Amino acid sequence: MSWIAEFEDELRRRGVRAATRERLAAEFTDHIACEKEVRIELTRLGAAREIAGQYAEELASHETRHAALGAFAALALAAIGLVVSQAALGRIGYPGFSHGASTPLALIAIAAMVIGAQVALVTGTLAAWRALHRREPSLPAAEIALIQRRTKIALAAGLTTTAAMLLYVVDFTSVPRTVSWLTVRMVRK
Amino acid sequence: MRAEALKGHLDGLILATLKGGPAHGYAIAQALRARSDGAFDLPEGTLYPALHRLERAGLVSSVWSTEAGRRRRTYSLTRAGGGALDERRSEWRLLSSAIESVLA
Repeated sequence: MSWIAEFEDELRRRGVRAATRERLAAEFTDHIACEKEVRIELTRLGAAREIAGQYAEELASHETRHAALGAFAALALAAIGLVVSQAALGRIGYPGFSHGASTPLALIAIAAMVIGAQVALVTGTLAAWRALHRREPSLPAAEIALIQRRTKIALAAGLTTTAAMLLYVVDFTSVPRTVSWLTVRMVRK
Repeated sequence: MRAEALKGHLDGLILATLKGGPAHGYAIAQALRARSDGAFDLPEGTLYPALHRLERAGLVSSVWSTEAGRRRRTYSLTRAGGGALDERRSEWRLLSSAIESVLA
């Protein structure tokens, strides 16, 4: 197996995207061709699997960090939306949990909004904090797994909160004031 | 000199090499070897993860060209990369002077 084939094989095994693999393969092909032009028989590139492993680890660290910060930014925007909508609803008066189409549905939606928002805030902040404070190019696998797990939990909690908001809206569409609040929100957008 | 000894300094060394003008991976490896009188005998493949890392950080930029029928990626120092190089030089002077004081 050639150096390039072994290198690409290891990158593929570690889940590096095709476009990135192609770029690296083109660069290393050029490097090896340059070596041959000056009659270097044995490549000075080093062990293909080690170099591929180093590259894949750095890329995974970068992407994990990027995902954690991106998720935090998205959740922050969703949180602003939640606060603004609740403040607006508070101003016109909450319809009361028992005045919707279904009281159990309203209670589930309210509980999910309260708990989901807090879980998203805590785990999203912890993931972003960790991503910002571990600046080394290559993070240990356990650290990557931890940041990824926190990011996933934060996103799942954020989605739960959003779904609960929708459920809340659906439950209270029969209440005239809530409908007008929704209309105002939608028109302003 | 082993690659381990260069850990933490490779990015700065690459930036310093690119200060002289745009270069592709092989040329950077040769420049590092020549400028260190062969002392930096690191596996040249380790340069590429470092180059890609520097590019993601916006310290170098790169473009494709064609040379003798094959694709070649040429790297250049960005303005931010020039600033980062100055910072690394200052840090290195402080560090080397402190180590020299202790070892002497």
